[in-house]
Amino acid sequence: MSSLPSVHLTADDLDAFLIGSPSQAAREHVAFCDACRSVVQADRILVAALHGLPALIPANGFGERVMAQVRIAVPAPVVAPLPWPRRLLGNRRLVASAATVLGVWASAVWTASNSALFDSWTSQAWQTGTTWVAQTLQTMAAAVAQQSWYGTALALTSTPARAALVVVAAVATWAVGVLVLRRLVMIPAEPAADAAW
Amino acid sequence: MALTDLQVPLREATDQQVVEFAKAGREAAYRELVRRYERPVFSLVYRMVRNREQAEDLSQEAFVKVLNAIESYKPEYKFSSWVFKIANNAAIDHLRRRELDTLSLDGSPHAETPEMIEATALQIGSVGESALDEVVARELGGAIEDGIRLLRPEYRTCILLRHVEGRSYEEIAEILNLPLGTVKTYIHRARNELRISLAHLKE
Repeated sequence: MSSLPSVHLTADDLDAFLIGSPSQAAREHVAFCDACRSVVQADRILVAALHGLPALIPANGFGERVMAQVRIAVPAPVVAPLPWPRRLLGNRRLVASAATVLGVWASAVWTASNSALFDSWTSQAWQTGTTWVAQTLQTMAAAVAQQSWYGTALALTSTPARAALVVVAAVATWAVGVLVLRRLVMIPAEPAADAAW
Repeated sequence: MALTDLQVPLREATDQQVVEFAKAGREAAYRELVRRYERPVFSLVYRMVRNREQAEDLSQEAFVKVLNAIESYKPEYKFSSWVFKIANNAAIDHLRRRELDTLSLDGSPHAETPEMIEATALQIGSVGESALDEVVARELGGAIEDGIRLLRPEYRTCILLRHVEGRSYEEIAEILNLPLGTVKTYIHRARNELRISLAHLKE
C-alpha cells in the first residue's frame, strides 16, 4: 500500500477535492504537483465508479420471508385517565394518611372544646384502673399465701444468702433446660455438598 | 408524535414516521421498512460475504432482528444506522466463521449447469446503460468488486457505506461504533488500496 508523504495533500485535502471544496492552498499544490494531481484524479474516478456500482437485489419473496418471521407489535391499549376523585380514592396510602390526620385533628378539637368532660372521664378511668390493679394483686397474693409450698419457699429465702442461692440455682436450671431443648429440636445438618467435580 | 398526525401515505413518510406506524401495529409499515432497505442492506451484506444465499440469510436475519425489536428503537438515532449496524454485525460475525469465496457476478463458482449459473447469477438494478456501456461498466465494476473483496473487512464496510451507500462519516462512525477519525483513516486507506488494485486498468 502506498501513502502520500505528509508534505503532499492530506486525507482531509483529498476528501475536500471529492466533495468539490478544496482549500486554496490545496488547489495551488495540485497545480504544480503531478503526483498529487494524479491521486486526486484517480480518487475521482474511483469514487464515481464506486458510486455507480449497481444495487444488488435479493431474490423474489425476500420481503415475504422476512415478514413470516416478524411479530407485529401490539400497541398497548389506550386507557382513559380516571377522574381525579377516583384517582385519589384509588390511592390507599393517601386515603389512610388523610384519615389518620383527620382523626387526630378531630380528637384535638373535641378535647379542647370539652375539656371538663374529658377531665372527668380520664380521672374516672384512672381511678377505676388503679383500683382494679390493686384488687387483682391482693387477690393473687392471698392465693399464693394459701399454697402448701409457700411456707417452705419463704423459709428458703429468709436470708439474702439463701435467696441468692435460690436465684443462682433457678438461673442454672433455666439455662440447662434451654440447652437441652435446643439440642432436642435442632434440625440435623445436611451432609456437605461435594465441591469438587 | 400522536398517531393521528401520521395521516400521510407510507411511501412519503419519513423513516421515523413509518417506525411509529409499525409500533402502532400496522403491518404495512413493516413492509415499507423492508422495501426501503432490502436493496442497500442486501448489497452491503452481499459485498461483505460474497455468497448470495448466505447474504440473503444474513439480511433476512438482520431485518427480523430489527423489526422484532422495533419497540426498542430510539428515535434519536437514524433508523438506517440501526439497520446497517445490525446487518454489518451479522456479516462480520459470519466472516469470522468462514473463509471468503470469490465474487462472481455471473453466477456461483459452484454452479455446474447453465441453468444453475443462470439461477445463481446476481440480479442488479438497471441503470439504463447502452449495451457497450454496460459491458465497460460491468468490466470496471467487476474489477472494483474484486478490489473491494481484497480489502480488510473493516475497510470494506467503511468504503461501501461511504461511497456506495453514500452515508456520512458521522453515520458510519455511529454504525460501526468507531471514532470519527478512525473511520476517516479506514476510508482513506481503503481508497489507497483500491487505487493500487485498479492501477492496471489504466494501461
